[in-house]
Amino acid sequence: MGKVYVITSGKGGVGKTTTTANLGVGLAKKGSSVVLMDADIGLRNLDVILGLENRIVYNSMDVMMGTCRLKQALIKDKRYDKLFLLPASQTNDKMDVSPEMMTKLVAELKEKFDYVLIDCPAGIEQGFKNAIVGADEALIITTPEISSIRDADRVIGLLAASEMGEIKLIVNRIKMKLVNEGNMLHMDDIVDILGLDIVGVIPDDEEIVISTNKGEPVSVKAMSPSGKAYMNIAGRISGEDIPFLNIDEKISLASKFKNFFSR
Amino acid sequence: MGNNVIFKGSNGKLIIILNPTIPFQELKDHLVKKLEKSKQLLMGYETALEFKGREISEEEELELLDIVNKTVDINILFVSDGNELASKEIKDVVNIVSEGMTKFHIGTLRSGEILEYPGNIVVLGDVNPGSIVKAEGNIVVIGTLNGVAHAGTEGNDEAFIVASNMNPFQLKIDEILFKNYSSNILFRSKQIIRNKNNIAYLKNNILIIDKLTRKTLQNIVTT
Repeated sequence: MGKVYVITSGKGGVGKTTTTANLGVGLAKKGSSVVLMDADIGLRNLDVILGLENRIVYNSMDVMMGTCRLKQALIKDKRYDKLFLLPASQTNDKMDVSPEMMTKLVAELKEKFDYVLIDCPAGIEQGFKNAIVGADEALIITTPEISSIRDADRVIGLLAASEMGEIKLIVNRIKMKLVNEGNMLHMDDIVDILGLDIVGVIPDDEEIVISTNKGEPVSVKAMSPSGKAYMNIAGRISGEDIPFLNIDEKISLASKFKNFFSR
Repeated sequence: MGNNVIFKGSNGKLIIILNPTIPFQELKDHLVKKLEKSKQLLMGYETALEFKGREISEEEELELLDIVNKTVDINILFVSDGNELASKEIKDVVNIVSEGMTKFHIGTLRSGEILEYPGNIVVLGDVNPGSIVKAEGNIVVIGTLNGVAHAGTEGNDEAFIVASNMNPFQLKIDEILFKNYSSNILFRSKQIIRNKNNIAYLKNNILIIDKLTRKTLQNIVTT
């Protein structure tokens, strides 16, 4: 029996799809069998990020309607044998799916894979409700921006009221330069406000834009700062004890010199 | 156990709402259980009492009163029959702000959540931006108050609001509103050292926010 995670945020554009893809790659690299499920019906993106858009024949809607078998809809990743994508329908919308349909599909996936990662759509309406219904645990993605944190707080409240298991936090797109200037919230502030355990911090990285357009998630090569951060998160999820990247160090060293010379 | 017996504090009166259909013996058991659980909360309480939600005979009412008297240590001033006794007598005897029923909320109030109570409220946790706390009595937050807090909602200008970290968007005591124009509501690492244990109260219809020191307390007490 596998574990089902829903990756959600409330706010749009904070990195749910990117995180789902990169986490999936990370877990597959470590030897687990993973299925990534795009729950953003009508506005699918997970396939694009993985570079698998031209391989889609069937989607999750087809499976739920009985038009095809699950196996026919699953797309194997071009790089990793154990990584699969279950794409969303682009021609339907979220009102076409019910929580019961999702529960059944997720239960089927859970039996076949070590990890099921559900890419939740933005918002708190039907799409969100469908995406969370089959999940064991939730990963909340937030950026260090007030609007993102407000939405995350709302979502956490809703998840806590439903029967969700553990809820953990990932802070995305942090810029330590701004944090040290006092112009961006520090991870500790965010943890303090949201009251969740943090499972990863991902620095803002230009490589993400490049990787999206190429269809190759950063954690494939895992050379860039974000790629390394994603691999660490995959490790922590798998149960490894990985300390947090001290993104502070580089800057605090420079500021030590600055103070010395400014005397 | 379910909600066959519900306690409600309202305007200095303890209302016990009873399930109308379950057998009387069962109801008595539920009442005992609920009273046992609220023992600490009700200890030493002086209040008017009212039974609601179920047709009961005089003998049944006496039985229930007996149970209340035996299970908890409260002083029942009189038993109301539901007709609004908004007389001065009740108000003099039980002042919510100094002796009212209190709701304890353990945990953080998240954005979008509303906590309302016809008595005092104590929050052990934070009140996050986007959440609202409304009390007829006082509000005490052992944590960070960032959202909106409204105390003394039914015209009680003696109500106060206390917070370990007072940084709300808005405060209201009775009808007097305070809007927080300072920015950086969320930059807690900067805030926590500066603001510690503050109290907001009304003095001559002005809302004052002060550190919770002996001097402040003296200022509040002296009219």
